[in-house]
Amino acid sequence: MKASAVQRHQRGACIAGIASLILFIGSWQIVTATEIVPDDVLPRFTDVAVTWWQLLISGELVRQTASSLSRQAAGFAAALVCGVSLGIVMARHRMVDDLVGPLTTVILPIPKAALIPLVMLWFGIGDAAKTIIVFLGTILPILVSTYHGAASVDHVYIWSARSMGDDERTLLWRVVFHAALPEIMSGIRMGLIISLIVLVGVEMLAGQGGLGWLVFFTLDSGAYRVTYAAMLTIAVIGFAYDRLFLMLSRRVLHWAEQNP
Amino acid sequence: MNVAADRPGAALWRRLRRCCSVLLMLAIWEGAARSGLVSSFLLPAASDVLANLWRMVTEGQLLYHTFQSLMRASAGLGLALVLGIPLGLIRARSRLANSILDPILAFWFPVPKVGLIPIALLFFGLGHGSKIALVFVDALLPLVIATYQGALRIDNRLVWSARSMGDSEFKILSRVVLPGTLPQILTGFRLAVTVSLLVVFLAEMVASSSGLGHVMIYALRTLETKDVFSTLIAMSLLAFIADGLVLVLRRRLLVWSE
Repeated sequence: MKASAVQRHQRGACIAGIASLILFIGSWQIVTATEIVPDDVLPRFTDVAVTWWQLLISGELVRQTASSLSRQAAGFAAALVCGVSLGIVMARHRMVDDLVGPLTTVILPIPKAALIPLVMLWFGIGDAAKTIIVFLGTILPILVSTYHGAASVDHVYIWSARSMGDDERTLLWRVVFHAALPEIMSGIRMGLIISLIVLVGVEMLAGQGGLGWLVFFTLDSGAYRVTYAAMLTIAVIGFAYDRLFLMLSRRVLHWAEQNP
Repeated sequence: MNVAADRPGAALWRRLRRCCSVLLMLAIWEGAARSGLVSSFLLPAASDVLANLWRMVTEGQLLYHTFQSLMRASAGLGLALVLGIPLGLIRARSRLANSILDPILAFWFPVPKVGLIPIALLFFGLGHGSKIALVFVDALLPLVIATYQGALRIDNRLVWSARSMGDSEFKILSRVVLPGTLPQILTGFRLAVTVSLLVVFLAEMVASSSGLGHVMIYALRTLETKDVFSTLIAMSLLAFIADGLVLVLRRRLLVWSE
């Protein structure tokens, strides 16, 4: 039985992925084992892998990852709820749009990293400050893309829903929200990426646990193997998030013509 | 609701109303700080912050640090442009290059590259090098991906006609594919500019002795609240101006498209 073109393509992509991974790890190991790059700058991959495994077994890695992810999840969930609902209401009610819209234009260009010192000043360096910084960093991309999605919903949909007797709440949820979903999803993707950036940044600056803290603290104390192990963990989390997101967006947007 | 918008003067009235919301926010900020409702340590009055910003500018310190930040960001961005656009074009034109690059890009794109700050410090030290390297890594991926996606959409007939007229592969890339990809490249460039400013400020906050990020974190550590706010405004203005310049550039370069 012959494999279809799509299957062959997928298998090819999978092989290429594994090959480039092997190439990456291989060249890392070679430049360190031959001492082209000194060991105190870049430890050997095998050493980092062993350290990673020890950290995992000791529970340290799980603890720091859990504390990072719980901050990120709380801030992001709050931003998602507020951003999406405010975005839809803004698109439907001109008064709200006139009040909130100009503020978003003023706030949107602020580099999100610049908010970190401000939040530390107001809320200290604990979990609350970190959750708030994730919230502030992610709400605007979600809000703005929801607004654009909801504002460009075809009026025919709204008129038909209304003519069939839908009340305003059903209309917002069943028609506007769903029609705006492709745009909302692309805002969510942007928000997810930013949330990890600001979280790692604030953990490096404020300390108090988390993967960003682990990376930076071990850098200061010279335990570079742990630094690299923690950095790899951050990278893998970012990658895993994106894969999960793509799976989810294929699920909820299977009806849309173009996925983000 | 829609009827009102058609009335003459309604647009002007609406614009006025929209200005009001920003003014209202400034007034609340000023009022809260002046009335002592919020301590002026946590929230200095808006007018004080602006006056302080002006003082920092005229004393020359702020301009020096702004220059440092801008130099690092533009050096990293420039490197990313020089490498990213050719990589994206090659990736679109050669299947072999794509199969090598695709998994690497797919992995690194969503990864928060600020996590790499320690590597950059270990390899390039505390000075300019580490910041430029971080900006480069962060700005590279949006550019490669945007260029690739744009180049894929080029009408093959354009390439065929160029080839039939005897153009070399390099000439096809530079004279046909590159101009046709420009709209997407500029979209990627806009994202890259935003990201590079974010990264340079963050990297300067974490480890640096100059640049706006350093000024801000130093102000936080010495509890000079006004300086924190003034630097925040300076950073936002820079980001706003940079984004505006990209949009102007885009309009200039893309007069022919659409």
